[in-house]
Amino acid sequence: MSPVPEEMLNLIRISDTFFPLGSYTVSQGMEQLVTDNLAAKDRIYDIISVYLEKIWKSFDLQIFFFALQAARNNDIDALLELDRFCFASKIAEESRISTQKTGFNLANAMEFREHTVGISYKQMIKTGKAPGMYPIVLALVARELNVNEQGGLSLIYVNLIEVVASLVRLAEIDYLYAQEIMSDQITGIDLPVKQFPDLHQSCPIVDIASMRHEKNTHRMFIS
Amino acid sequence: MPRTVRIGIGGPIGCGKTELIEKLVPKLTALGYKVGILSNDVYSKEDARRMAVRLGEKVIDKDLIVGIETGLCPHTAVRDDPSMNVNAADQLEKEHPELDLILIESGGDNVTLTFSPRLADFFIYMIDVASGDKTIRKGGLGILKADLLIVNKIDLAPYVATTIPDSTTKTANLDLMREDAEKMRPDKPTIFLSLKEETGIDEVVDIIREKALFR
Repeated sequence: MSPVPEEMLNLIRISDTFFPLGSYTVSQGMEQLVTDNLAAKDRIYDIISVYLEKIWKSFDLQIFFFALQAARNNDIDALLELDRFCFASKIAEESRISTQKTGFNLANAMEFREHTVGISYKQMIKTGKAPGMYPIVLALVARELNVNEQGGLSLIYVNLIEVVASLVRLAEIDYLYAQEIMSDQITGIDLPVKQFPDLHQSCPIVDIASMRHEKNTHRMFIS
Repeated sequence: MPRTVRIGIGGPIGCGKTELIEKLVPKLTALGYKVGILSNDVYSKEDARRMAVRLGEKVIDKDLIVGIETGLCPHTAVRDDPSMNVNAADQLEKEHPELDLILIESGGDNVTLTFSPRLADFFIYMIDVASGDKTIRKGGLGILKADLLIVNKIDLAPYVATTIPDSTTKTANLDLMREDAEKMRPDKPTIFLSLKEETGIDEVVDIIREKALFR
């Protein structure tokens, strides 16, 4: 067997649930959808497709691609603009903060080489000069690890795991059914690239669920 | 600058972790220490709310009590991926540089619970007599690795049956529990106490001062 490319192994490593992102605390509003009986087993595929198409692919992934390009150009101003745009676009407060915390944790777990845009931007995040949203930091990490556009797979996978795992932990689905969903969702997945003006995040049912969820006093997940 | 001392407190549900903090904080505060609290709950911020009410603002500012919902096994949040707790502790420290120590309460968990050294500098594991006097001899990372083991609810020993087959008593056998603690953790302290009757708490304070705060 020929050696496995280092980039592939790093892609697995940063996507693994053992990688310390703290994302297991997040359901992205799914806990509220379950509470409201909007995520019954026969609707789970539809709901997850909504997350996939309307949030992760149409917005977070695009932010990631633009940030990757900015990282290649060593363009810190563009990174910061994208970062702020991403921060402002997450309507539900806890969703916004958890995306920021995931980005912070990713930056914190990664050693960037000296004199790179990654190390400079990590310092800006640590000193509060940049929000440090997850798609932005992931782009810097993807550049650092030579994963590049493939890092988009990690973004989709980590988000998918957050939502599907929350359904298992909420006892809505069993662990094997969860694997069916994961398999179906990632098989043949495409990573579409859009133009900047087309960027949008529009999924009111998830935003409303997340905002309602923030007010619950008894819950398993942060958002 | 060295970070604020962080003390992790773990143990099964209902063993008295929250009450221990409620009893420790006034004593530590009276000694002049400034204390912050992170409280992990799997399903709510109930413990943090309870502490805020019970301790009151005369003892500790409510901003110094932070509740965290973990959504998952408590040991994940304090050991396997403690990033959320590390961030919360860092934030507390940044906002309150005057703090001498931060108490981090884990959600109720099992005997394999330990804290990440990145999160806690000193680790207290707590059990209670009513959940079975055989617990210490069963071992587990919590009992073996904790810097301090606390056995709570010794006042209930006469009211619960022993779970040790060779016990000479019918009720929970505290003598055998002490022997087990000596065998399982010969170089580390174990304190038997009753939070309800407020016994043994000063010993805990002394050990925290000596072995965690070094003053």
